[in-house]
Amino acid sequence: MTYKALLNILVFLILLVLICWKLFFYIDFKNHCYLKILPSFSGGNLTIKKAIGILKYASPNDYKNLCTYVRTIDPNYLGGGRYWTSLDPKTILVNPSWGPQLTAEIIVHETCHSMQYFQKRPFSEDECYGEGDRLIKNITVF
Amino acid sequence: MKINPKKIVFSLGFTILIFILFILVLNIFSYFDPFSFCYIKINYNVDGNKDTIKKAIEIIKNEDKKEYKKLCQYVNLIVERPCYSGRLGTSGMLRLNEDFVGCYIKGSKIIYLKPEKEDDFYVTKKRVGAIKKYSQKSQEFWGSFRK
Repeated sequence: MTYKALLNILVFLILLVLICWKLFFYIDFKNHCYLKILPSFSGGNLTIKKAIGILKYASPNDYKNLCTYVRTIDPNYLGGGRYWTSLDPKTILVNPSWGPQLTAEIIVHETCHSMQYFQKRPFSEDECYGEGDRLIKNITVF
Repeated sequence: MKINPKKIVFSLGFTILIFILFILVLNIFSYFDPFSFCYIKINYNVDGNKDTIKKAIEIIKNEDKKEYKKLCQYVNLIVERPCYSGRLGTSGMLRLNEDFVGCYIKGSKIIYLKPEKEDDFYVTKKRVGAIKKYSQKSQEFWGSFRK
């Protein structure tokens, strides 16, 4: 293999790692937050990342809960969001096509269900809708 | 090594052409002003009108350089979508706020504008006011965040 071919492979691998880093992982070393975002080819991964950023800067408590109780975000869901314990209990399903504001709200809602599961509390939609409502009011400036 | 001037002119011309094409393509999906280093993505809606958003940004650029600089620094995405104000009780129904032309989302550089299909001076003027107002809110958020 020539030097030039090796260089091409190296550049290709670096680009591949950068694209994967940008689209499929959320890593925040400072706050020990490591999340995996499953592939979605509708461009939803970037909306999920924007929504996580909103939580990080505007609602640190929700961000902390997300980093503690969620490990994987699956953006391939057609409704609003879903939490299934039959899947990995640290996985939430989120539909990012609603835009960054509602995506942040759905993430908080589904994280709330994950917290209910790990804290061995009964599932309550009321509580999680309340959490989402609080977040929308907190992050939205009219 | 012999330098071929024709080759240099061709390469330069090709690079400029690619750059112009890049700007044109970017301007289809967003607002890009390379001379002011200003890039704002626009997520438009089928019920809305992206042109009035672009016109509003152009008006801000021509009328008030300070506001334009603030806009470019504190807004990186304009979403043409209804802005929600919360959820209704236990049903979880989303509540829309129809009283405002948009909103700013804290923790981001994102502003929402209510979709409006009409392409007239009144809509554009309303959007100029909204974009200025919400870029100010973004500046206030990030200003207080850094303190």
